[in-house]
Order: sequence, then C-alpha cells, then structure tokens
Amino acid sequence: MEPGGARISQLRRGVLEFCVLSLLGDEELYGFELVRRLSEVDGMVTSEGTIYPLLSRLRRDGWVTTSWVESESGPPRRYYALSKEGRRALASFTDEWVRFRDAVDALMLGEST
Amino acid sequence: MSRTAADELVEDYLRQLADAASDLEPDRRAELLEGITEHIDAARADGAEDEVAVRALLDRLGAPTEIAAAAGGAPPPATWGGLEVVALVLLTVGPLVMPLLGLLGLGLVVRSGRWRRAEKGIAAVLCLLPVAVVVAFYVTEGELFGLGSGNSALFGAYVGAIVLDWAAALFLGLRLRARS
Repeated sequence: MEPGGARISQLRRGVLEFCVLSLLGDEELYGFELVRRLSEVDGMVTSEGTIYPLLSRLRRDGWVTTSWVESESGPPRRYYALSKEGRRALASFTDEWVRFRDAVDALMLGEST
Repeated sequence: MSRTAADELVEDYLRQLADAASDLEPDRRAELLEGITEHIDAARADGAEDEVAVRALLDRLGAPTEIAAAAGGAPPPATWGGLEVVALVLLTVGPLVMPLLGLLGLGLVVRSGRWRRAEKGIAAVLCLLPVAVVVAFYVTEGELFGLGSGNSALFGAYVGAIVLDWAAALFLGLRLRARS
C-alpha cells in the first residue's frame, strides 16, 4: 500500500461511523441494504462484514436503535434507525466536518505560497 | 433439499466466524453471528445463488478473523486486577495450606475476564490433574487412607498438586504480564 493509502485508510475509518449515521438519518435500513449503499461509495468499505460490529457499537453507544420487522420473503430482518442522541451526534459531527473540510481544502487547494 | 456447494461455503464461513469470535462475550458474539448470517441470507435471496456468486459475497464480507477482531472492541484491560492477584496467591500458597485451596484459586481464574479461554483451559488441566489422579486411585483401589500404597499415592498427588498449581500460576502470571 502506498504511503498515502494507509493515511486515507485511517481517515476513512474515522468517518465511517458518521457515514453510517448519515445514511440512517434519511431512513431506517436493514443491514444488507445499508452495506450495499455504503459500498456504492467507491473505496468506502474494504471488508463489508466489519460494518456489523460497527453497528453493534453504535447501538451500544445509544446512537442507533434496532427493531425486528417481519418480511414476507423470509425471516424477520433487523432494521437500524438513528436515535435522538445519534441525530445530535451526527449534526455536531457534520458541523465540525464541514469546517474541517473547508479548512483543509483552503490549505491544500487554495493559495499556496 | 440437498446442500449445495454454495450452502457448504456459507456454513464453512460461519463456522470460521464463530471460531474467530469465540473470545467475545456471548451476547456480542451472538449478535455478530446473527448480523452476518442475516446479511448472507439477504444477499442470497437477492440473487447471489450459485457458488461463484456466494464466493464473491463472502470475499466482500472479508476474513472472519478481521470481522471478529473488529467486534472485539476494547479488549478487557490486560492488567492485574484484585481478582487476578488473589487467584494467583491462592494457587501458589493455597495448596500449601490446604489441599483444595488451589482449586478455589482456579475458580477465580475462570471467573476472571483477563485470561483467554485457552489459557484458563490449560490452567484447569494442570490443577485438576492431581485431583483426577486421586479420584482414579480411589475408584480403583477402593480406599484412600489405608496403609502403604494408598498413603504414598495420596502424598504424591498432594506434592504433584503443589507443583502443578505453581506451574499453572506461573503460566497464568507470565501470560498476563506479556499482555500488560
């Protein structure tokens, strides 16, 4: 892996949970669906299975709630949804992220002396 | 319905995952296995039916060891706690005081969250071996406190218990130190 690769990996890991929260902010999703949407973003997920421990941790931390929903085509599915604290955490991270992103952009892509 | 090659791949994968997750607390482990199983079922219902598709699906899920590691979260602190100290003291000093005190130490070891299951297993074998020997002797000879062979066997088992308990304590102590 090129030197940049490891660094980007670290960054990705840091924001992944907020990307998950963000997807859940729009609608309740079940595991497979959530993973699929994350995978649509290029390079976001390396090992899809690790999303599940992440979801468990978010649930334990109180940011995500789960519910079982009966499905016509098979066994009940576990749906994940954002909790009130999760929404707050997402909102506050989004603020920070926008500021951070803008600052880094300005440094990297703006006027460089 | 017969099991297909795809079914076998899935079963094998889940077995590996269960293995890799054996160190986790039971409810975390169950939750992990349930989530991954549900994912696989959903993917297969969604169209990943043949062996090639299932293989690709499992590849994308990633190595069971990696997933289990991600679920490990913060491992229990690999430092000495009160329980661990008392357990090891009981293992070393216990058998000198009373033959079965060492087993009390073993009980505490099993209760502790700071040793892995395999380590507890090894300690248990070491500590229980002399007990098993005594029981076997009693079963075959019919008596423990008779003259001659009974007494020396019992004494031998007692000395053996001290030595093995110390070995267990040393082993457990070194393992915990290596992780601190």
